[in-house]
Amino acid sequence: MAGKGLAARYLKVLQEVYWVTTLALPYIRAYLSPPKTLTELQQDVLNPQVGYDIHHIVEQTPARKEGFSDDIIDGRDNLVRIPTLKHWQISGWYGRPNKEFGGLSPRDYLSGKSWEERRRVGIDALIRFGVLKP
Amino acid sequence: MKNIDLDKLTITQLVERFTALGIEEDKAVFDGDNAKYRRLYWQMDAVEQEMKRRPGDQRRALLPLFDHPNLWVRLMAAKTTLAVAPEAARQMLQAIESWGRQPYAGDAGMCLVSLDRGIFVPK
Repeated sequence: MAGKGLAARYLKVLQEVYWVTTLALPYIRAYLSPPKTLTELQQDVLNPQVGYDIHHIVEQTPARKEGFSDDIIDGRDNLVRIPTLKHWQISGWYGRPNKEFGGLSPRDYLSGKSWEERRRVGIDALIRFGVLKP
Repeated sequence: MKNIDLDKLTITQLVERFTALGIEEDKAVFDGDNAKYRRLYWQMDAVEQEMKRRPGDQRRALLPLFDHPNLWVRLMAAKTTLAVAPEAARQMLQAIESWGRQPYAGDAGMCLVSLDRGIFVPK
């Protein structure tokens, strides 16, 4: 019985090692990668990789709802490849109520604002969350 | 966290509640639970308004939270004291940004951007 328990624990450790080294490692490695220039982030869009997402500098769903064209939303200028975990953190920030915007989320604050204003906030967020070189 | 009569609490109790809410907010951020965060945010806002309403504006009582081990608590304390201790609060935000731990650094940095651009005028 003791041998069976030991084998089960060994298998569990193997599974965890597999999970960390094979599944999670690309995400962790991407998360820890240093900031890049905007040109580099835009060029990386052509090279999708595990651990990274394609991110819209100006958030796509609100922009679409407010009538901005697909050409500008999905245009090369608006797309960057960024670490998936940073993508989650930036999206989380966009969705949380925020004292700076009087209790609105940044997403709600930007509703009705110009493309340029949305892009400015999007670029600032990439810099401050450590994705884009200042 | 349940709603309570904030006007019956002492300043020390209000600071304790602010701290507890900050720790819960941190968990909600980590879990990506923005619906929960939203509820906690407005509960914390109510604590801030109660402290502001007290004679002499008691938000300065949050300044000791700049040494709290939880970074989200520090971040929220800094944002909440910008109107009453602008230099110290700004230094706290700059420190959080410089440490680089996300998402705290990003949030602190975006707050500084909003201050510098005049989008956020603490009151």
